[in-house]
Amino acid sequence: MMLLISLFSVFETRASTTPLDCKKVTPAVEIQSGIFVRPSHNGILFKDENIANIGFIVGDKAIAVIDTGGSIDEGKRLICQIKQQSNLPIRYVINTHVHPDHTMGNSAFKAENTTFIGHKNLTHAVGILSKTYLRRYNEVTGKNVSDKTIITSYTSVINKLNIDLGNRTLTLTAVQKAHTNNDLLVFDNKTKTLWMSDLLFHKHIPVIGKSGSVNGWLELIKRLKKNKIIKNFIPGHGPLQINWDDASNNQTRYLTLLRDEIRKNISTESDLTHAMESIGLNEGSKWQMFSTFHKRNISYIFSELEWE
Amino acid sequence: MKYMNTLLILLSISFYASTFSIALAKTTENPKPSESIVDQNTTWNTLLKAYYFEDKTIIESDELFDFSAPYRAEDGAMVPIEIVAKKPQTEEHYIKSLWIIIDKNPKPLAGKFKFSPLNGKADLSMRIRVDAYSPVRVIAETNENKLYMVSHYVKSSGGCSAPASSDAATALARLGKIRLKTSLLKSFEQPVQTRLAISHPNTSGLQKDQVTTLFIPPHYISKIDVKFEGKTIFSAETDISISENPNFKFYFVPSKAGILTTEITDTKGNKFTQTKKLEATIN
Repeated sequence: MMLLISLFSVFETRASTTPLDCKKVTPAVEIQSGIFVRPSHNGILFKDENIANIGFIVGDKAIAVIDTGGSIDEGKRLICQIKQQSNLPIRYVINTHVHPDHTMGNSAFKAENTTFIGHKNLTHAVGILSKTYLRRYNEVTGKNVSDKTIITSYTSVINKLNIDLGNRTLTLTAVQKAHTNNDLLVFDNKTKTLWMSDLLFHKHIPVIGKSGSVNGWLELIKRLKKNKIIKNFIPGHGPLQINWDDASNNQTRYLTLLRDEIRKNISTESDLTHAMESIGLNEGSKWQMFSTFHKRNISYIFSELEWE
Repeated sequence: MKYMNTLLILLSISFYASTFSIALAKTTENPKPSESIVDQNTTWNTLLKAYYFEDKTIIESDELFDFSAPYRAEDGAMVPIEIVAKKPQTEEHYIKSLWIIIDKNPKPLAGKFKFSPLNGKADLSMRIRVDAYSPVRVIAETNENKLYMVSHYVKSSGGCSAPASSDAATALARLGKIRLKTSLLKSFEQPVQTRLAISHPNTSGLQKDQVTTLFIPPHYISKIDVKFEGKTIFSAETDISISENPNFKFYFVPSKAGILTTEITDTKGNKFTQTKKLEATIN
């Protein structure tokens, strides 16, 4: 099945210059009643598409989109996937954080007359980063997408915000620094599903952003592990079928190991190169995409902890 | 007409490349030389070499030192580099300065570091910002005024404009804190590894404030002076290409127990100092 999905993705990517035929787009997966996810496969930013789990939640009166993918084409395909399920209006586009694999499809939804929602720090993060993302995207793909497509105005979530989709309330929570400094959790009260996006990595190595905090992230997972209300969890990367205890324990083990070993390095030799070359090598066989992200994780966490 | 176009193209290539003949040879071989050696070194050959070293001869050789840098930067704002000298510093022959130059950075010269025979060996590690795919060069000047260069191409982007790793208030609260660490002193007359770390945002002027999204003014460490028993053992003039929270590793030979002092000056005229007593652990 996964193979079939990836074959389709390749086809869709190639066909992006011709008008999009919604009938040919692979439908999103309904993982809980009314919660649809467009599954991801592992890949590299800008170079590959469909690398993050994105999707939408359908209420009785309206639809909320959760992340829009890494390109306008990906956003357009998501609109197809929505139309395949429902003709209700797309009232909200929620960005779980600023990273390009989650936000670069935003402008596809401009015409849908939606409200864009994000963490209170998201507007600033977009202001600082989005043009750079777009420049990199254009460099890598050879396209010429204009700056003007960037969505710059968001409804800010300062602490919590409830949105009503008609007989279905989503609770959005702005969290402290974790994966980035602008992470938003989306909780569907109806099915008790927590859309964690990149606050949870499943089988794909956890990746920390430059503005994130390993301490904040570990603290958040610790708190969520005590929560007995949440029944289902959706990760930002990796397979959707998930055992929460295993997934959260694995992520905690990896991040704790990095934090402790980096602290040790800082207090003794304080050598970034040695830290990157020696820490956490045993974790290599336990994660997908390890060689792509592990050293960078160490570098970012080193910066966070060096003067904590 | 066709001929005129070709001529114009060749003329413009010759303007960017160091010598006409090399550019011409390269274009005939491969009409689109992307990231070729000629392209990589164009800024250096046409501009920087003369700007920093005038018409002096620079020997491209790793005879005096090894230089390592990652081919692909994990974090462009924090690229670790290391220089390891191949010969000891003696009164007769020694490296008197090391220049670190990143061709494509807005201010290419990251710093000029001074050494003497007191260092024992002219090893040096630090972390630099690399703003774009660029050669990173280390040029050593000997006491005989000879220049040696080793360079590496580093793939990186946005290193000078990347936001700081901590917010401005936190960074300000610990501004100028210094950690000065030395390895255990097992015998005199042997180089002792010294690690100098300074908490400083070292803002480049190209970073944006997270809240206002306006550019943050440059504020960086410009001078470093480390003395042992009143004698300078390590000094440097540094610029915006040094990463935030600058961190240097170098060596010196203490002939006896004594006091290590450091004085750091930044572009706002702040001076930060730290003292460390160096005691022998020799039995």
